[in-house]
Amino acid sequence: MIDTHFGTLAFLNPWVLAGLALLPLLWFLLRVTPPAPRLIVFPAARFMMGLEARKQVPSKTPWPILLLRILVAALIILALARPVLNPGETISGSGPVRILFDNGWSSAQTWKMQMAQANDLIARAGRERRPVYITTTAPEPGKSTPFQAGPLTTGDAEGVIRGLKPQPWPADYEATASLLAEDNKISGTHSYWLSSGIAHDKPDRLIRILQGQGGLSFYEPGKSQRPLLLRPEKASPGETAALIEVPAGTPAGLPLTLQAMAKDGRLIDAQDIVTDGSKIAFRVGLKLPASLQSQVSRLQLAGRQSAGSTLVIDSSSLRRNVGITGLSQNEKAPLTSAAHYLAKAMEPFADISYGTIVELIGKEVSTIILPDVGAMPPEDLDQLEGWVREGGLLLRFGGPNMTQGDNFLIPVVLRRGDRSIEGALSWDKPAKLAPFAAVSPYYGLEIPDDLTIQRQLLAEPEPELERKTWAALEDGTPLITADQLDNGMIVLIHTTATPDWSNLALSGLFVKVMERTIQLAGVRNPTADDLKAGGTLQPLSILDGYGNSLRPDATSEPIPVTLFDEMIPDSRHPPGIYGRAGYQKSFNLGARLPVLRTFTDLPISVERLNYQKVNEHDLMPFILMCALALFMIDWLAMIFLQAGWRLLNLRGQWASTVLLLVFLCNINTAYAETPEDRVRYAGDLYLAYIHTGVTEVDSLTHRGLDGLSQALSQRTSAEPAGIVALNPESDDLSFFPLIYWAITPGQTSLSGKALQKIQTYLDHGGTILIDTRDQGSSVSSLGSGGNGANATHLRRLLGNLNVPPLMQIPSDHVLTKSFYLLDSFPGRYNSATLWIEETSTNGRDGVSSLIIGSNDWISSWAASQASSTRQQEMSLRFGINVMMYALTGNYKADQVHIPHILERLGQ
Amino acid sequence: MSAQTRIHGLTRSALNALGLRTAAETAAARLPELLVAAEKAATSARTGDHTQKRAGSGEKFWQFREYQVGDRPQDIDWRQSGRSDRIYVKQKEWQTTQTVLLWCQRDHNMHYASRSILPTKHEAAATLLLASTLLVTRAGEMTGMLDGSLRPTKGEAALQALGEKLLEDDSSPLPHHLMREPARHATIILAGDFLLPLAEIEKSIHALAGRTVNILLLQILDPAELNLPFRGRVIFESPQSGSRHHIINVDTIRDDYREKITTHIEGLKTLCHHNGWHYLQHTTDTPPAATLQALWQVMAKNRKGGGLS
Repeated sequence: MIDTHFGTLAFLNPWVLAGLALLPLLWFLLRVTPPAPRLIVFPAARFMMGLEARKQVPSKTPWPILLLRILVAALIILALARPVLNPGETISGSGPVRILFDNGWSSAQTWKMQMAQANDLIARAGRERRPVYITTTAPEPGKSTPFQAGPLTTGDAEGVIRGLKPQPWPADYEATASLLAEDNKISGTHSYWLSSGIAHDKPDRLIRILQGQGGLSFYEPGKSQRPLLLRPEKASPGETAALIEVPAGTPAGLPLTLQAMAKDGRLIDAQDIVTDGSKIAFRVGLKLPASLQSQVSRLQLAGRQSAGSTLVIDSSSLRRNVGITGLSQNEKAPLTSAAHYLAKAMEPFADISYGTIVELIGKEVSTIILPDVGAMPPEDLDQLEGWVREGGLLLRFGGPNMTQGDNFLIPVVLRRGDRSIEGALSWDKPAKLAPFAAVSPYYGLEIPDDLTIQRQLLAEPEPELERKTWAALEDGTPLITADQLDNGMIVLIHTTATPDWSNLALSGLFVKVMERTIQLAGVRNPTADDLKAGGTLQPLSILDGYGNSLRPDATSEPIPVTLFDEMIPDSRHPPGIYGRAGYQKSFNLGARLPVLRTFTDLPISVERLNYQKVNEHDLMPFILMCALALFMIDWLAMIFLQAGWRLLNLRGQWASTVLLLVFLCNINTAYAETPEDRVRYAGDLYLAYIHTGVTEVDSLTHRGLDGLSQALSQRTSAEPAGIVALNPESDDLSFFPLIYWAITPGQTSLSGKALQKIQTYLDHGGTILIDTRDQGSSVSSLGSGGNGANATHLRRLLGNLNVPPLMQIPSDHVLTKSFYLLDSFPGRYNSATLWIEETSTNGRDGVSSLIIGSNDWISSWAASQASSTRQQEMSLRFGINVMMYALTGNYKADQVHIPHILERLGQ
Repeated sequence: MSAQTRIHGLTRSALNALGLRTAAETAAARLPELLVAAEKAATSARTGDHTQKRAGSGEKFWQFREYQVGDRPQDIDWRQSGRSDRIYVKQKEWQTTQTVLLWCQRDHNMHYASRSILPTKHEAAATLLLASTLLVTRAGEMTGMLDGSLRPTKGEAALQALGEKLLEDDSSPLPHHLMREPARHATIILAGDFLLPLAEIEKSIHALAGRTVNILLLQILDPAELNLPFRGRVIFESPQSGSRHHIINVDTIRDDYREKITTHIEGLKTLCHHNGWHYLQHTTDTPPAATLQALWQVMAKNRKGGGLS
């Protein structure tokens, strides 16, 4: 391969340029070859004998065309020489090329650079016909080995590279090294490691192997483009915090934005920081109100879409699904309902649903609240117990109902009856709450001074009572007790959720107690030693390499609870949310990975490069396009020279040619409405008819409407400005109060679009007068029974329209008196039948959207008025009535009542 | 038009029986169209006055005149004679049945139309001849083919047969043989392009004229044959002989050509004048009615004068 450089332009096949030397020859050939003569069979050819032409026809091609053709030829030669703008460097060596493509979690942030570099490498290798091997570093999903392909051709390699995607787990250099070590056959392979700049592992062995197989060039991003990691951070109350970790050596002044996103993708809050060049971790806290904080489902770094820069927030701060049994919130006296107080308290952090126990279990709530429910049907009890044993949180409130009989599913054994501390027969003062013990989940909550408990359920003393007590009164009697039941938990608050027995439900403490309680849902023991037991956490939602939440696929496996804390995301356990029904734990890269390390100690023999903007351009397609364009111009010119002259000769003038061209350009828009037309139609009254495509019918309709239009102008104040033929396929029907439609067998069926237009027109107040023009064979009904030939066609045309039920016109219909008083509606025929809508839709002012008849009115209207018969006159009157009906609606129908109104007024 | 060309090409290449039959059928399919065209042309031409305006053997009453010696006794009108002392003979108007014989050039030369919107010369000729047949038939006279393939017949029934004959292909460029001598006062209409050398035309027509001199040459020409509207390098091929003439620049020979063809037409006119033949020219881009009018006038004059001698 010889590369001839002209500045930054190079030719890959420079010897093809020698073809340019042939251009003068081409010029000569094109010049001397005259165009072929035309052969004309001519009867008077005999007279040509002896006639000699005095001079040659200009047989040579006009020079501009000649130049054009030479240019086309030159461009094609140029394109075949494969010019390349800004050619990249060649690849060292002569053996195969290996691309080691980093696709661990950090590569998502440098993906574009890696892709561009890979494509460039492949293109360069392809030019030298060198096979390409592609190896990735991160294991494939569900496997422990990375991907490897090769030897590949350029096209295949490009396809493979396009098919790669960043994985959300760290790269495994050991696995890659083992994979490559198996491939001992290949030697003399030069490798290009396209890294993300973050070392996920010790790369020493991998580098040794790669160097052993040929050579290694190592690509990494610039210092400011290296990937970042987002780590979770302990947040102070009312704050959502995260730690942004940058690789050491990241320059100062790099702006970073932490975003808090809701589950539905809303941006809740964002905060900017700027790196200072010395620290490697930056703490960012977002101060959010509690209601917003509970909605944050993920934290991410703006502009860095990767699993590493995304933190999914687990259920501990997510909104819970809480079910309240029995009571609905819509009671007439909400202040007496426990549901009211519970809903008010839990609204900021929980989604509340109501229903029976069975319904609530069906809704997969994490907590079920039973406010003052004592005995339950055994089936419900069984179901509830099963649900609790599977991990549900049952929260019960005391109340009068619980004082009776035996209670099941309670943490402690209760005494019968309740203890009333402040009552008519009581000497005691209302009791206060003792401070929460350190083992209590409520530890740290402040107890308001005015909180008093008047009544409570008393627990039977038992040895375990103290352990089960989460809150107690100052006198030591338990107020909140809890106990585990297999995986689930039962919490009992010994007083009511209403202010009946205490003002707990009115205090701010209630909200906090509820919040902490329902957050325990799914946690078997609040004292954090709960994960010791067996069981697994299923992947509920996983992140892909770009940090998008996906549904888990078959390759992601559950994590044993015991291993969850030590687990680092890998190809079988992608980061995301793990857990089980009602219980979720986040599994983030940031929480598991060690400190970011860069490739600092590469051997000196490794060529170390930074990604650079690749701007090599192959000019061949561009030049070929130019040549094609010039060829088209040449072609058009030839057409003009040959056909154009003849046109000019025949027509004798330019104008006709131009007109022909204009006509050809406009031929498609011959029927379409222009915006000017629409302005015209909207501004004046136009009579319209449906263009049937049958010339006789259309011209008859036009003349008929013309006659009607004249009659209207002479006799009424409605003065139509013109007649319009409408094509329902393309035209807007909405400007016309009445559309005449002469049904003819010749009309082609309407497209769905046209039918939709007609339907819209009818639905929005338009009226169509349909004339089947076949009286004698009556219309009878659109749906059935019509036996006229055109009625069949009417059914064919309108079959798909939503046509309301029709009826024969009643004798007192408005149409009989909207302008003239009529008792029949004659056209060319005189049949009494006229079909209208049975009941006009509301909003149509009582005007039927369809008027269907068969009297062939247009023929009658089209007849000259000079020789009008009585029937023609009556027909015109009907036309005027129809027009008035369409224009004024039921105005005349109202007139009917005037005598009655006047009569009443008179009294 | 394309069908026409195809048929024409077929007959030129292979004149087998099947081809001929197909050609005839295709041609016959065009006949109604042609008849309509002829009918239209005929109705627009005014037929004028056909009677001879003198006494003769006819059906209609002409005059009474006094009996003269030599009159046949059975011609005496006794009713009229009874009114006075004189004896009157009733004379009827002289009415003759004239025969019109047609010939139409039907060779390849005639299947030419310079533009697709124009009829071919053959079509124009056939239309004109059929139209004049219509007129002649309505005047109560007889028409037939000059070559004797169709005997002179009267009435519109002849029209169909005549039309079919006119559409048949025939390779002779000039009328050549006659089966029978034409009647003494027969009118002969010869339609063709008459582009052959004048001597050949004269010889041929003299040969067939025989006793009659009522000969009408209807020269049918395409406008392109008069104007030569082509440009550039063209090879002209004669459809009849197939001889080719390579013209490298038509523009430069146009004037010469026009002069030549004008000379030829003038020569033809002179020839007709000398022999007492009538000459009419029809170009295919003009409506047939105008030519038909002229044709009819010539024929009417012939009949009135009982010949041109």
